[in-house]
Amino acid sequence: MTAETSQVSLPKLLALCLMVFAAFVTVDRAVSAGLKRVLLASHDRYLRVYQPEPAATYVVLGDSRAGAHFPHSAHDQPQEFFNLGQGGMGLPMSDALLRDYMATHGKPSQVIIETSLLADEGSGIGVAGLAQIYSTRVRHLVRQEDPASARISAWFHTLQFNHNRLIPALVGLFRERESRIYRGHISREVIQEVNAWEPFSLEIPERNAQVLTDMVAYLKAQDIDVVMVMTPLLPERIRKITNLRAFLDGLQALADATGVRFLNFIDHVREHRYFADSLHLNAQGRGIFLQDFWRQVGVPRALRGAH
Amino acid sequence: MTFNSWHFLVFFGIFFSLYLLTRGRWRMAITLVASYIFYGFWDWRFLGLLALSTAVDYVCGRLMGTATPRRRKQLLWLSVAANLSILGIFKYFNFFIDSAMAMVALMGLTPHEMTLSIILPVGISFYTFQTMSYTIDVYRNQLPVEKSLLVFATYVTIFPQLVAGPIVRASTLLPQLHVEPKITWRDLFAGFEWILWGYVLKACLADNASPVVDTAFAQPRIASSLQHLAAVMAFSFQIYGDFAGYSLIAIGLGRMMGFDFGVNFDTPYFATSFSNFWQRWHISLSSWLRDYLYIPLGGNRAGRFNEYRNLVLTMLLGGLWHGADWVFVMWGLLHAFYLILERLLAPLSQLACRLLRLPGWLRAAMAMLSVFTLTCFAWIFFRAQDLEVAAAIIGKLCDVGAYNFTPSLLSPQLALTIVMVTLVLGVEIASKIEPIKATYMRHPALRFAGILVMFQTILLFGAFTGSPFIYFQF
Repeated sequence: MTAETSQVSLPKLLALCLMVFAAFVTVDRAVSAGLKRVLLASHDRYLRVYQPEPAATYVVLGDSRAGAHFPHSAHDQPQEFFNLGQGGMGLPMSDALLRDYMATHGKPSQVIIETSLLADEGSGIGVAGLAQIYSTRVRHLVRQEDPASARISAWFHTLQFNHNRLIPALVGLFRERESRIYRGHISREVIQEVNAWEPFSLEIPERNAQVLTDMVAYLKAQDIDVVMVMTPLLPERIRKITNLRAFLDGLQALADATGVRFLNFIDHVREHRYFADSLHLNAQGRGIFLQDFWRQVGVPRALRGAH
Repeated sequence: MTFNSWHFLVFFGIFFSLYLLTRGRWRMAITLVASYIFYGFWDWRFLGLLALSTAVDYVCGRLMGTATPRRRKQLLWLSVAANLSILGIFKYFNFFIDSAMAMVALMGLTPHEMTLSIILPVGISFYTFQTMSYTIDVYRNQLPVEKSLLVFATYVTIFPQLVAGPIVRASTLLPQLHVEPKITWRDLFAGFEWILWGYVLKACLADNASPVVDTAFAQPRIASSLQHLAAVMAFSFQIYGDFAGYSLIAIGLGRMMGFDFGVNFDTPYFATSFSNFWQRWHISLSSWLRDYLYIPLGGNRAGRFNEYRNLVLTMLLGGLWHGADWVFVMWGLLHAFYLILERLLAPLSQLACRLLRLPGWLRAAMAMLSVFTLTCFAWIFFRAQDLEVAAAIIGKLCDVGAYNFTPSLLSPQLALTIVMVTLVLGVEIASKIEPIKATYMRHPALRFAGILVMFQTILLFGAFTGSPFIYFQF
């Protein structure tokens, strides 16, 4: 009888389980340490926060609307813009990333906050939680939001890399450019669907108001200009917001209290052909919005001549 | 208690320790009790149903042993009727009532509301088919009558395959239960490998594909054509990863316990024909339907028309087995249509290949692509909430002008799904190349490295959402 075909006994099995567990942990530590080093060379924008390079003039914060409506770091003008906008982003994560960015890169001249972000209760760990491998701020946020997975990550470090953003981060090792510009235009079916929606309200959660107040105070203390902006929404979608006036007044009140400008472009673009869907302008719509936005804020050096 | 929960890890740890410490009837009794605990975790109220199904088939089997041929036939019908009644009441009652009421309403009459609030007992389709295989085999004298209730009850309920298969036939498992299972290091290692690969399929492939699929199917009219195309293809791998993953975990657990449950999936998306597909997909169900329905109906022995009729009936039942809904009826009929079309076109396609002098590999690749594409098309019905949604998605897919690209299409989940599909197909191709497989199987160090890679893959790419296995609902 060979060792392979001999009968299994419980004590030997327990000993084997311990050995296998030890092998799992050893490989886990090696893989996580290797990934931590490798990913720092990625062009993924959330990892570029931790790569030493000169600060951009403009940092854009927001959700997918900020990502789609404003120039993008690697796509449009690398030195001029750093756009952290992404669907599912939350204000607490934006705040942590901005502070990390400034600690690594220095001060931008202006921070633009797309205000749809303020109505989102999420923290944003699903978007940029991968940054926890380089950031104590983000790690703290992840621990607060998802204590169970944070506890398991203490056993297996590779779990910190188990994130939506891992594949884009790995792709970013080989690819520099990333476009968030929407193409095409909204279909009739989508407009009909939006028309059939139940009306809904937009609120600013207390936590977001507090995070914004702290963040603006921090930026102002460093002499950084802050602009809050509501970018255009599909008219049919606007009509579904039951408390639009109160929501916009709330944003204005927050801006006044913190001493920043609030620019409202929510109904600035009305034609369907300028929208890619109910939330995002397409390339043409984006151009129209940006032209008027820069007119109010001041055209960035890199874009002079283009608008 | 699902295989992808912490509860199960604890449960199996305790069970397996006791299993190793005991022998003979005690070991079997522990397996039986553990199986009832496992099932009771879902819903303890259905334990009685499980016991009833066990008791009916056990008694019918025992009585068949001494009965006259006429009485044996009556006992067979009693067993089949009891099992189908359980299925009929718990799984199909509302479907037939709803359909009948819809027909009455179509005739302009106002039917009374008759739908009952019936909960579907988990795994009911699996264990009723499993127990039916026993009485049919005993009736056909292909299997001796099982005298021990303990052995028979363990066969019906053995927990790794109780709730979502594979459907292990009595002729496969009962003889194994009569021999003291010998648990060797080789079986333990192989079982562990299968379990880990099963978890890779479930957590890394199926659960990552799930959001891509759910988003598109939840908004059939809003999602773009490209999104639907991606979702349909993602679903084909989600259902594969989910079900093949569960089967592998079940088979691996069985192997660790010293049992051979057989194979349930054999690289189905490499099938070169639909007949071949059904020899590779959910093998335990398709072979069950072949042996207990298609062949008794006459199979392909009584002329073309009867062969096609038998195919339609078999695939229709195969569709309905998955669920009491018109979408499953359509799915089954579509596959019947594919099988018939394949038989009708076989001479033509052979002639075309001869005339065009296509090389064998190109013919195989084209056949695989065609089978995969048509299978994906059928999956639309399987996944859609109803026929209206399926029609809306097919409409979108046919709208060539609506294939717009948006950045949101390339979601991280889709990217991860593509990576995982590539990985899984790569491993499956490698497993079919004999020198690679032989080298891998010969070297324990390579196999251990494989285990470490699988574990790291689960940690890095697994979606730990705790989502249940899709086939539990069947």
